Amino acid sequence: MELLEQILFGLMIGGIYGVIGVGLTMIFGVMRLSNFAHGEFYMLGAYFTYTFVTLIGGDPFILAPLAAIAVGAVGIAINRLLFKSLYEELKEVKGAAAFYFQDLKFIMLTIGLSILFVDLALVLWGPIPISIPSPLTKHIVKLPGGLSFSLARLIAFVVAIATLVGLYAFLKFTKTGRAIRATAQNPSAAMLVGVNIYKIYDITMFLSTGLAALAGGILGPIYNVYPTMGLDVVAKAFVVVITGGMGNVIGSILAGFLIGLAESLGGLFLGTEYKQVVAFVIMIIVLWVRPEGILGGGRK
Amino acid sequence: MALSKNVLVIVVVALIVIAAAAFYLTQTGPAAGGTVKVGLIAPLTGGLAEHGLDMKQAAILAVDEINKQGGILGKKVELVIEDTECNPTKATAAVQRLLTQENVYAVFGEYCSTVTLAVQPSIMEAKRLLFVPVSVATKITEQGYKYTFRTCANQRMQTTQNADWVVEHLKPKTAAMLGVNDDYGREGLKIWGDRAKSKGVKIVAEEYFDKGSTDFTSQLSKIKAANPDVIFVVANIRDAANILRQAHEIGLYKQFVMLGGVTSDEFLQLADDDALGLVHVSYFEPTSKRPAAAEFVKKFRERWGRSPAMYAAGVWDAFLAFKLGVEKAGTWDVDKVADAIRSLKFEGAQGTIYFDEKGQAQTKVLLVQVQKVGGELKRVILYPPSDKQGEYIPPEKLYGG
Repeated sequence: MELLEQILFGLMIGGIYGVIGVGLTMIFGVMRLSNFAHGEFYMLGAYFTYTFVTLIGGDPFILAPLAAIAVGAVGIAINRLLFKSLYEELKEVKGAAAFYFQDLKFIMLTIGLSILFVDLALVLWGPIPISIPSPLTKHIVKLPGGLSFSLARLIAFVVAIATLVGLYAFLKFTKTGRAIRATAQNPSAAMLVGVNIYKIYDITMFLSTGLAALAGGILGPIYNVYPTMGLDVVAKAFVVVITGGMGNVIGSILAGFLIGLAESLGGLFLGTEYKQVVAFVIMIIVLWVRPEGILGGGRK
Repeated sequence: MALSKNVLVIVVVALIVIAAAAFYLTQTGPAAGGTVKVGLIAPLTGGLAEHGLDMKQAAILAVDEINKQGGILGKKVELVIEDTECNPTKATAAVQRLLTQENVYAVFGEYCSTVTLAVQPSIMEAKRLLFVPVSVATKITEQGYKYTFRTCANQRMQTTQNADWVVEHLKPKTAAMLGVNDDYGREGLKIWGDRAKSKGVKIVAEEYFDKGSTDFTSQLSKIKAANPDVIFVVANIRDAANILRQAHEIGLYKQFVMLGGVTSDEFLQLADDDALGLVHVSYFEPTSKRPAAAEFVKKFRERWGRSPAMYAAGVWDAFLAFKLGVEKAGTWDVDKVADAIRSLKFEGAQGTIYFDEKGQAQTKVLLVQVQKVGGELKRVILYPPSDKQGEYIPPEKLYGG
């Protein structure tokens, strides 16, 4: 029974890792930038949800998608104001030099954004953790054999799965999805066949930051909300992305579940003090055996 | 040439005179004037500012009270306040300023143990008194400095008294422990576990979580499977609230016990009804009926219009020890005053206070339980008998079978 419980909770957390990781891997795959501020969009999603709950009233699980759209708009704004000029400046630079030059600038920029957002949250919402009340967190689902979890956790898991399936269908079957995949494969070629890559970047930023914010919004009521909550998940998100294969959406989803499950079982069999270590050991093993990640290697 | 030589001589002479004057001033200390300066170091800005505020308000109140009663040995007390932001580098600079420019006789502070440990050596070297009202790291008084006095219970004392109370009153056969995976959590679990084991309690699970974790279901699931009678937890308010909520989520309704760090109204707001039934340590409760405590709370409320938190009580008691110590010594000679403080025994806000050889106050901590009083979550004092406000309610009664 203990094993079953651990597997259950491991998979539920894995779904959330998947949602956060997928956003990060999309930005990496399509825009070729490592977004170190990704965790802060997760944090903003939680605080926006809290603010909507206090302003409008209603259940956080209904308002979380609204917060995700709002944070997605912030993502687009950042893309237009900060990233676009960098991309335009770099358009003329060719080859490997362009990649390194570009990546370094973006790394510094996104680290700066991360610090800015954390401080902004400190000023706007204060340092004391906040809980977002929802009747769903108090409603406990009881299964036979003593297994139980809150309805909120179940909803979070269902939303995570639905979002991941929806995203996959969007990328696979829609015209915009195809354009996004084309841009990920080769931006210059995509431009030649008439894809407006700056618009694709806008859409990618919206999806990526919105997904992170959605995760924050649905986890806010389950855990608590505090300014540095994004910093606590971003390292795990990078582990998921690297393990799954950088830029690979399906890989990130699989890696999310793999790491969620491995942490739970690692905690059970090795001792909970090694829980955090397990995720990184898996990443190192994957990088050793398959440096491109579980599903890495070009496919998007 | 001759002129510049003269100038040089004058400059050198002037410097020597200034240095000698400065030396004289720093050596003679408070005897030079009609006032005696003392310093307070506390985090007044940054994430811990709300606790710093309690320390500051208690210090201002204490100094005003002392001066209203005619000061100490005929001297008025002047308070100099420095902000540290809980940053050892900032605090070191602030303490240097207090020692050299303000020439304080005693320093009161700090909140963070790391800061207290960082500034302690320079204060001891300068032969000034250091009163520690809040920091709990056991090491601060274990080093045996002559001029250091702590007016609150240290980590070892509160953890041991917690374990003793639990063993005596809850009579558990088995216990589980859960703590943050750093020196604070590991020290806490070791002290509590050793104490409980020595009294015949079997430790059936010992689990840790990393800083920044938000999900504790792995740890709690293992604890649930081990089926202990009580669960001892070392965590900050954020983690503690999540731990209690997730424990109830997976159907773990055993008795939780925690340390003094969760004594705050923010914690009760965050944990909400999941805090119900939790037993934890507190150094001081403003609802206490003991006369010395009630008097302090009344004065604090009159002056600041709010209730003092436990950190304020530690500062208040530190100023009491300072005043009574100097008066008992009858002199400002720092060695004689330090000896006098060691022989004091007085009623403070936190209870009867006296110090051991190492300057650690021998206080009894309070054990409180979170209960619903008139529909609101309140900390009800269970122990000691002098402060007792209510009876312990076991979790079976609160949550049903």
